[in-house]
Amino acid sequence: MNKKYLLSLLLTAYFATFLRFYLNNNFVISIIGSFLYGFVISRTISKSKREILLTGFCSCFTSFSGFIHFLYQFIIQGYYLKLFLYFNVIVILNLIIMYIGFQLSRKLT
Amino acid sequence: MKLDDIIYILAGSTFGLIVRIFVKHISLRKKVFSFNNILIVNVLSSLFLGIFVGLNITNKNLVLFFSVGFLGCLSTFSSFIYQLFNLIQERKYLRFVLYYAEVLVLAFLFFCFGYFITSI
Repeated sequence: MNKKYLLSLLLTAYFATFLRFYLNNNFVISIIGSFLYGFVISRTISKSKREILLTGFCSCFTSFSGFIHFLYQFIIQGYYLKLFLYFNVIVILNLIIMYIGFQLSRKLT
Repeated sequence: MKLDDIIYILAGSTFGLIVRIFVKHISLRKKVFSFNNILIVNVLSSLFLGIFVGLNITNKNLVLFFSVGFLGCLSTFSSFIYQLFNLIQERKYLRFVLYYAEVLVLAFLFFCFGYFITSI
């Protein structure tokens, strides 16, 4: 781990955090993040660039705690069926979006 | 946005990123105690979120530091989706269902655990 790598990792993480704070919508953020993750994993790029894009940008951009906080609204109101339904729908939708991104970047090359 | 808000978010996100990379580094090094680093990070962040919600903090600076900066950078949703995607690609459907249920149960168990600690 050299200094340049750490600095670029920190800068991409800051950029992702401010973008998340600016958009302020957990559903849109998770979909964009999954699409980008699927787009990057099928590309053949160097290992350090891949680390910076995946653990730096995509992981800081999407947040699991924001997702749980979104589902917490249903616990207060007592809609337990709705809670279970929303969890499944969001996860399956994100899986499909990631698959679309994966196939799209394969077709482009 | 003021300069103070930016500094609070930067400090929180730096701290969260360091903790996540530290957990990843440990899991790669020790092959004997191999565990799923993304599951650990997500469960830990949902425990912290439970404590944070239970305390009912309305101080704006603390929300920016802890909720937006620290927890946002510590937990990752897209890596969790990628793990599920990878299990489907390798055609391990039983492990896919088990991992899915594991995350659903553990995250809410630890969230409720953190929530009820503060109400004692």
